[in-house]
Amino acid sequence: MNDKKLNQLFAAARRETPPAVPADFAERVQHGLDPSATANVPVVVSFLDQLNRNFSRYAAIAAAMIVLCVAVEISQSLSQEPSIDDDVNQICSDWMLH
Amino acid sequence: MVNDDTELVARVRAGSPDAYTDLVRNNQQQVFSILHRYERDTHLVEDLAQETFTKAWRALDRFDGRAPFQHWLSRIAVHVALDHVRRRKRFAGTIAFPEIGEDSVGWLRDELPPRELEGRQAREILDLAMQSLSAAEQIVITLMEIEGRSVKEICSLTGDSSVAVRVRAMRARSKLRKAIEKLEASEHE
Repeated sequence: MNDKKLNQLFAAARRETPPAVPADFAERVQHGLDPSATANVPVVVSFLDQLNRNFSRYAAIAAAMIVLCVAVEISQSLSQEPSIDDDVNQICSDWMLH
Repeated sequence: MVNDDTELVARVRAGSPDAYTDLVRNNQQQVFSILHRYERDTHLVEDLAQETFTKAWRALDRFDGRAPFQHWLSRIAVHVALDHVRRRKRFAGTIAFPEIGEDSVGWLRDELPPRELEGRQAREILDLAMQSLSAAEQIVITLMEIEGRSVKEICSLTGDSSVAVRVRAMRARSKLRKAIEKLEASEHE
């Protein structure tokens, strides 16, 4: 199959005429439309749908927060400052003594 | 044209759904012209056209008027065609494709065919050969070679980058050539 023959094939296909549109096609389309689905009716999206739609975003934010907390904890432990764990332990022991 | 498309869209939005009938009438021929390139069965073309106008109706609030309504509708029609070709490929084993006629076989056999091929015959050959192409490749090669659209237009209709369109078109042409060579060989046997 050479390029010329392939081009002839395309040219012939280009000449094919589309089928005639049935006279009542527009009316049938109109009849088949759901009036409640018009563009002007606000779409109600459920809480679960919203959650589903944004799940990847929420997961990324949660992962970023975990990474941030771990980073803060590591930097605090490296700088010998009391960590969140130490603070919690302190509060617990104070409460026990009282 | 009964009315300007933009005006009709405004009327539909203003709460006059009957104006959509005029909008359909203004654009139905163009939608049929796009869709019949991907489907030979006229009843299926009608179904696809109906699907296109239903989708356009549901998405009318997203039509911002930056491009003409006709272009916006063409994009929807092309995506409906793409879904249709994908579905057809998925069920390729269960859908029987019509055999190609004697005239088309004769044209394929001729090294230098003396006569011009009819549109219907060209479609018979191309439909069989296109089965070896992916749905996206079928859309790109049809838009480029049969509808004669530019790369820029195809990008705008499909949402693909120009590089993707060019690569797909090149790959599709090469696959088509091989598929038709196979057809020629099988018809010689």
